Amino acid sequence: MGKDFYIGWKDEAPESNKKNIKRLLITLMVIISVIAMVLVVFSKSFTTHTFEFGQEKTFSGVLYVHPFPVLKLDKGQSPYKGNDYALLVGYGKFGASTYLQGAKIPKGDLSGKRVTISGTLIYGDGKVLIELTEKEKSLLEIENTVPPSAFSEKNRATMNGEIIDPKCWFGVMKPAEGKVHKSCAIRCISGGIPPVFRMGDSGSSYNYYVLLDETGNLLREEILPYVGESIKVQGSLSEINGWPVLEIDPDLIKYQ
Amino acid sequence: MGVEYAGVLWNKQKKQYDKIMAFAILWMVILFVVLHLVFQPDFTAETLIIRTSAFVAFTLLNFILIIGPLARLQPAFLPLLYNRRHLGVTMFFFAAIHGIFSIIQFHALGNINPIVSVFLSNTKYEAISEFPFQVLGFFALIILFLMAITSHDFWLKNLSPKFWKGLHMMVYLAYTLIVLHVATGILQYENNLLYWMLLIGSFGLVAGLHLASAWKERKWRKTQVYQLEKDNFFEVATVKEIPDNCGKGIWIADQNIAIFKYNNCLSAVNNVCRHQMGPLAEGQVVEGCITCPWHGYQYQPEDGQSPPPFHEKLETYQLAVLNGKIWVNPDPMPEGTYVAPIKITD
Ligand code: HEM
Ligand code: FES
Repeated sequence: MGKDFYIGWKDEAPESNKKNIKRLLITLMVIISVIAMVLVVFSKSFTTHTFEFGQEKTFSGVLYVHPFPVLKLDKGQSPYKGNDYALLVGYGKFGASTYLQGAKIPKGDLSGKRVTISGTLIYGDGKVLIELTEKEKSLLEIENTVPPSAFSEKNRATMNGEIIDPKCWFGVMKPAEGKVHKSCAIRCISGGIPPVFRMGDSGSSYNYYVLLDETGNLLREEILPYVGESIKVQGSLSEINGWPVLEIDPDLIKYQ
Repeated sequence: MGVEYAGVLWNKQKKQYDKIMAFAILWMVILFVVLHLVFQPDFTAETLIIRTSAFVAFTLLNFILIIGPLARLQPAFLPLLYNRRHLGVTMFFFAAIHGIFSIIQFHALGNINPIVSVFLSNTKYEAISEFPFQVLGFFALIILFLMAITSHDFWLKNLSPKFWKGLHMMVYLAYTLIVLHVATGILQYENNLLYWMLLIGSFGLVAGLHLASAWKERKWRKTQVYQLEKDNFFEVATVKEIPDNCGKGIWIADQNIAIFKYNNCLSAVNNVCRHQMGPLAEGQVVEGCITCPWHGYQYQPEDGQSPPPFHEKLETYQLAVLNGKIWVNPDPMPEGTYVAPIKITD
């Protein structure tokens, strides 16, 4: 017989094989463990944003529908003191507007009406959103009318940042920015979730603006090519329904 | 169809192989989860699943790919090769978890079909850093899927070893796609030099080991120059240089030939195993049969046939011995032809 010869279908491998393989496997497992450590430790930290998945609650407040749906929460319901304006978004990758139009109870324009809804809280970085988890059935009650919200004065501004989809960014997914999340953000915005311009470099502190066109309507398909990339935008700043907004001409967006 | 196959047996070693594999994978999963709990506690469950399965799948794939050249360069590692298909199928399982979860997470519950969304959400196909990297992963997953479902020896037989080997060579295409998937995907977000070094390092290791084993093979072929010829017999070796029950590989006139010395006899058969083209000359004669070093397929040296109930057949070659020198006729005899073994006389 020649040197040690390994035959897989025999019950035992030669001792020399066993020793060599044991050594190789132990070395590899140590290397792999170190690599795992490097991968996890050096990756970007996740945000502390929260999606209260599976914890549906009822919320009451004043509903604004145009140009994007916001519920001004009654006191004590917002996770942030001083910000009661919850942006409403749909289930999955959809906006809330179609649900509000399709809801069974409403008659006429919903804007400025007191409502009770059921939904799931999403919040982070000082902003609040509510997912209408039950779709059309989320709108529970409508009461008397209150005066419509005020639109603030406009200021011109140019800024750098990234277009994100607020539903994912403020808590549903992590990471919810940049290249890895681009396709998802495109789907969300295409599905009617209001696009939000996040001003500031990645990792710094941010300001957020809902993006509208120059006639005051939500932007959608026109801005999809820019989603998830570093861009420069210019437009006029104001505040609508408690959310800062930026009205822009999408043709003037520039890649950074 | 009635194709007969006889599977490689399920034995103690194979069970041990699987046990070690399961343990190593379990370790990787637990380690990855614990590291997240400690260092990245704000993760979401979906991201943890997507990243852990990607890490396990990519690590296994790299390992699977280095086994081949490693065993060629250092036969001590041959046992790793024996049960590689279980590693392959397990790797596919983790890759599928990663791919399916990614599609659900990033593409489902939207206004177009999730699979369509993989292709049409990000449409910057002309770009490099903005390239829709998911598409690369998608095609890689399809290849891995085809390999996983055809991994059984039944398909090896049915599709013919050549076709099967061709299909399974696509793993290199899949690997390349996955490296690009990572480079144009997560590394455009986690733009950390360390990660680039790890990705390039693992690609370099796989490519480097393959080049090294190919280089060894080429160097060996270059040494295969035989000029002493008589009646189409070439002098190729000495009787002494082949240890008992061992073989020697010869490359002559485009024939890959294995000469074996056993029971004071010499026989020659084609060097390419009919199972998955393993190098028979690197095997040994065990209980009267040439035994392939890769998965242990056996052939009778005198006629190149597998012992019953198996049906594999190799071409055989005519030998002659003169003054302690071995001569071979490189014209192959039809597969399974009996050629009387040459008795060695001192
Ligand atoms: C349908 C096919 C696939 C899709 C849609 C897909 C999608 C993705 C996405 C979105 C990421 C970034 C996730 C993150 O935020 O960390 C990613 C990363 C990654 N993918 Fe895939 N992938 C697919 C197939 C594959 C396959 C077959 C492999 C093979 C092992 C693979 C290996 C990786 C690796 C190693 C990473 C980097 C680690 C990570 O970020 O999770 N992918 N993939
Ligand atoms: S290649 Fe598998 S036994 Fe020879």
